[in-house]
Amino acid sequence: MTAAGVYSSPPGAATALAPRLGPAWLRLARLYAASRRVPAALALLAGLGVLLWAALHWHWNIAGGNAARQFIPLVIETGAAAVIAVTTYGPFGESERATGQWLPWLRLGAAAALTAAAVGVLAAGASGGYLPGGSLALLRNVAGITGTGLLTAVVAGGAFAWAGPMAYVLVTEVALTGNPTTPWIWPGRPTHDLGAALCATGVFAAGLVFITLRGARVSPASDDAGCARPAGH
Amino acid sequence: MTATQAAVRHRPLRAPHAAPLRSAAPLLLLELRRNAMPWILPLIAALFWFDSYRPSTGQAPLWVLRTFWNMGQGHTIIDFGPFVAGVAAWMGSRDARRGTADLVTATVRPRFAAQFATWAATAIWAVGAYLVFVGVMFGVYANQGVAQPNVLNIYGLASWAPAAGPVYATAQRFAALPAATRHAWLATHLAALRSGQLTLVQLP
Repeated sequence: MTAAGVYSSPPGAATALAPRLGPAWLRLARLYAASRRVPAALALLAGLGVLLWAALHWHWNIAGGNAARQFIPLVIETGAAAVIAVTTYGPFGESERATGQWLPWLRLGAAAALTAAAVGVLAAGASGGYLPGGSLALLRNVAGITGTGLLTAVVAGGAFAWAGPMAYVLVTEVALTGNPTTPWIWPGRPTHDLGAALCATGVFAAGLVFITLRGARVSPASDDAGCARPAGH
Repeated sequence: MTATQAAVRHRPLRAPHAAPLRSAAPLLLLELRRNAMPWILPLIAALFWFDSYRPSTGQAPLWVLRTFWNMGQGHTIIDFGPFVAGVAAWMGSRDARRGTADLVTATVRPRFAAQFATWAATAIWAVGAYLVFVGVMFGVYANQGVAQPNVLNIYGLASWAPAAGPVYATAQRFAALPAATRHAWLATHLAALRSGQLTLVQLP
């Protein structure tokens, strides 16, 4: 007897387990989330929400002008964006890309859901006191900075995606010491500034599109699945 | 003849610390070569230009002012700090990330020595890059004719201070003072000006 001509499993061989694990798409999403450390990211986002609440409730502030006043909320928003961006890093590299048919949709879903979660927990944290610009500015800032993180992930890889939001917040802090008029420094613009909203939305949309279509950059240097190269990066 | 009658041969004593030091150098070189810090340096260089160098050129060409802008207000450190911390965390978590922690724990070399080499390589890259960037920036300043605040500089303030800046306004005010008043003030405060305890905007 040979296996030639056998194209499917015998009836009942592997189906007993499937009903207990739920629908296939749900299981796939759960496995994808686990591989991207989404539960840890959600915990960190919740921690950042608590931090924002504490900062606003106890009036943590830094003496100074506009840059100093926005520093703590902006850094917390940047932290949330960095967490979301780093979740694009996957441990499987090319092998996953070659076989993952639903991978683009999973990437899109994870990035969008985490951004929504970040805005949600930070908005909840903003209830602790007065947040400059309010929740609308929070939504604009988080979305825009997350977009920079997603774009950095596409260019530099998920492992270093945090560098994009970090660089953006440094540039913003420098610009806020003056009186920025460019809409690209959206945290420095009023809440209802249309140009700033468009720029932030555009960057976020571009980040979502690129991360969906291309995914985070996978290079031999950042591919942990490849054991041939014991590089630290 | 049995083995009990054989004389015990003693090994020549070796310096106990020579071998670990000899083996540490290749490990450090390996870590320097495999470090992630060089990959982040272009981004730091861009930020360094934007945040530290570019705004400082708007200051008056005096070492005191420009050094205060860069070093005193911490711009250069802020440009490096977050990225160095992130890369250091990335390098430090390598064993756990690659699932090799158990494997390397069982090796002869103490884990502390290996992790110290990783830390040292990251620190060498970071500190070395910082010194190079700051050195280049101050070299550019020197080429731009940045000078110490002395009497001649202060008398000539109005000629090179950026118009509409606080130093220019101060220079105009200072130039309008009687010569005797200016000389007396400079004689009293020159040391403080040179040491940076006074800045030009504090001229009378």
